[in-house]
Amino acid sequence: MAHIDVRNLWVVYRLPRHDDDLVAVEDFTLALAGRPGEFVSIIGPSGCGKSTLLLAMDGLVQPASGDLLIDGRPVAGPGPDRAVVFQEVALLPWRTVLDNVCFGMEFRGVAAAERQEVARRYVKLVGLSGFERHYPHQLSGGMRQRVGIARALAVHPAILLMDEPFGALDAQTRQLMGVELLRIWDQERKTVVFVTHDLDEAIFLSDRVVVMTARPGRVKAVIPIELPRPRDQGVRNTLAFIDYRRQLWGLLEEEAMKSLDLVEP
Amino acid sequence: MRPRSPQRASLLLRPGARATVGTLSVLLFIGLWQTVGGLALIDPRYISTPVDVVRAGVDLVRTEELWRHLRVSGAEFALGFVASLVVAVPLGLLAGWYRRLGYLVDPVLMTFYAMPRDAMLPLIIIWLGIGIYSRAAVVFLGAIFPIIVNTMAGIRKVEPVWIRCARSFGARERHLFWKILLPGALPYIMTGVRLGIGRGIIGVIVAEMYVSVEGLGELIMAAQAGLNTDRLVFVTLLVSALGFAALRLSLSLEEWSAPWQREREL
Amino acid sequence: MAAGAGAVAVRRARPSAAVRLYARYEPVVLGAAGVVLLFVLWEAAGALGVIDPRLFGQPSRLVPAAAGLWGAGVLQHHVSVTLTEFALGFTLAVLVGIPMGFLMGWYRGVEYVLEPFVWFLYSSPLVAFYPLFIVWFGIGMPTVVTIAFLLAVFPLLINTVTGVQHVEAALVRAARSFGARDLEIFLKVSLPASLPIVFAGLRLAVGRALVGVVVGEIFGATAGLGFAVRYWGGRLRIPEVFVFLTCIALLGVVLTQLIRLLEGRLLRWRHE
Ligand SMILES: Nc1ncnc2c1ncn2[C@@H]1O[C@H](COP(=O)(O)OP(=O)(O)OP(=O)(O)O)[C@@H](O)[C@H]1O
Ligand SMILES: [Mg+2]
Repeated sequence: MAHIDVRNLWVVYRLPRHDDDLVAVEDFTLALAGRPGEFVSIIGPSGCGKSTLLLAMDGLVQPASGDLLIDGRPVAGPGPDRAVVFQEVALLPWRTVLDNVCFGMEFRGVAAAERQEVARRYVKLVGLSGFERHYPHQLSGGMRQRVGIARALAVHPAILLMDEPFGALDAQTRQLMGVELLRIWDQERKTVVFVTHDLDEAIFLSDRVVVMTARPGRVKAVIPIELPRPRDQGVRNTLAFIDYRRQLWGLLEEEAMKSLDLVEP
Repeated sequence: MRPRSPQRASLLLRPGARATVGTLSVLLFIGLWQTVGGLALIDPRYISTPVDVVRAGVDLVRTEELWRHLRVSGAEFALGFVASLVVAVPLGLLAGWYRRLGYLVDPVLMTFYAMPRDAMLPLIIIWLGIGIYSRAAVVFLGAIFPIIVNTMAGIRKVEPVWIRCARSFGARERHLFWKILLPGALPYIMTGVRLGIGRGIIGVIVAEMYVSVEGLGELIMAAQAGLNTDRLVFVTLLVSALGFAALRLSLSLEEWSAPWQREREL
Repeated sequence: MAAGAGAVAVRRARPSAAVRLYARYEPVVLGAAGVVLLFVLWEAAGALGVIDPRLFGQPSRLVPAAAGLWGAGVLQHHVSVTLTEFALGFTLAVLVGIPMGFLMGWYRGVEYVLEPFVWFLYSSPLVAFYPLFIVWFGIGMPTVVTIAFLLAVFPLLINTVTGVQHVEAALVRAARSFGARDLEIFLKVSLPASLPIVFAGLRLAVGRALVGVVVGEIFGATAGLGFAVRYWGGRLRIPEVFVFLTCIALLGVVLTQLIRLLEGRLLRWRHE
């Protein structure tokens, strides 16, 4: 269950009023173990195609070529086995926190009363109790992101596709949310694809970290993180952790410079 | 953002200052008007006086005449406005959602939107006669274009990421419509409704003044013909007050439809 | 590109030049098609007897009517009267509305004193006052200009007030912290920052001034496009009425586009 297989995936954007297409993801290959669900982080310079890759995995963006298989079946579109935490958060401004969390369940045949109850539970889980009746514009950026996370978790997806879900959180909350995410992951053993710009976060959470090249995004390296689980905050100060960080930093720096045109590729 | 430090403007910052100053200013204006008219500094046949206006109003209310005309104007407005809503909202939603349809109708809509459609009044009278339908048609024409154009804009401004998110969770087309497109476009539809109400009211009055058979516009024309300035001012003020009430109502509808939008263009 | 061969492999077949050209100009092409379609349907409906062309006009009948009006100089005369009245009313509205709007937005006292009148008159169908204006000014240009002015000035005023008051507090604070004085803050921060909403007011004002001019001409004038529509309408000369209505519509489009052009020029920093 929930085994993801990405083979030679290309995603190309057609630009209206432009003669050239834009290659966002190039020849991307990666397999994620489904049982027990694997936690894989994706890092790469801004604009390299991480979000695009995630959207393709959800079936929201059509690949130009290559295969995208979940448990051996090609992805034809969004499905109940997957849920996305969007980078833009994408809360509906006319719905309260609680109703936003209910939103995903409304398309999955969950009865109204049950939706409310489940939503309440996940609102609490992301630390927003007391804000159920607030509207998104009354929340801070970090609080909104947590609503987005609750909305995705509430539909109990086997695969969780998270696009910089902690981007707007402060460092402390970020770490606590990371621990919380690991706890949920441990309990429900989802397969998680987690996009982040925070190397420490990637190392702390993941079984493997995928480093992408500057656009068009290819796999530059896949680094298995062999730190023992369950992990606690202490692991961040171990030598092994620091080594991983140094290694990832080196890989990323090249690409970041390339993407900023600081050196010729 | 105002330049002044709070201390210097402290009197005006007190709670209730706005209402107090506003009321005083209106009272002052009425007093001035009464003085100028009452002392005949300006011929009261031209400007009347507040006391005379009130007297004329009381007379009108007593004779039942006012209510009859009000009912007629109200019926015309309601007929024309409801018809424009029924046509404009679905049309705007369609033209906003289907890109090509939008391109096709855009210039025609924009032309009608930009033109003073009240000018079609003489034609409408030829087509529909001088009954209630021609006057309702003027309201219809006045209101329909702001509503269509704003509904279209509303659909076009629905964030693609909302749609993407709904699709991701498994929404079908019909879900998209009810859960994303309609609520997302609602604030814009309400803006269209507000502008449409304004144009519709102008339409009723203009049409009634033109045809001059019944309604508030006819009251205005009759008062003018009879050189009854007191009554003329009373009815015009009454019409203005109705317009003001309608505007306030539609503004609060608009705010209710989009509590997250603070600024709006008026 | 590193994997050039692969990149070529995914390229779909390129659409032909004609298709690409169409794709680029699709809105214009379809929009023009829409207008043409409207006229064709109108012509055909008349020719096929679906509608009575004597009542509902027909494009082919407009041309001789327009030529006749032009030859007699009638068309030019009414257009120039309308344009003059519009220019006067609109300019007056700008000269009064924008400075007053800034005053009201800047000084709380001024705002509180004038607010009730502004809102009342903004929402009132001011056309209703035209009999009063005829009593005061007589029939003709002054009455028409007054109605146009009054209809246009209030949206301008109210939007300017909104614009000034919604300038971000942080911007003003930043300017003050750099030592800017009130006047400098006004000229360098509040004025430019409020321009987008002021322009929204200008757009509305153009439309409402035109309504004021045309309606004013219908009721209180002996020249101008509004008067012409009434005059020819009264004589059941439908083609002539349509010619003048077309002029009115074109005027609306041209004036609105001019404002948009100006807006695009002055507010280039604003991204859509
Ligand atoms: N809808 C779209 N149409 C055209 N191009 C797009 C679209 N979405 C993304 N792109 C382009 O594809 C490339 C990859 O974008 P993507 O959002 O996947 O990057 P990302 O790695 O998620 O960046 P970031 O870390 O900044 O979020 C970018 O160059 C972007 O400009
Ligand atoms: Mg991204």
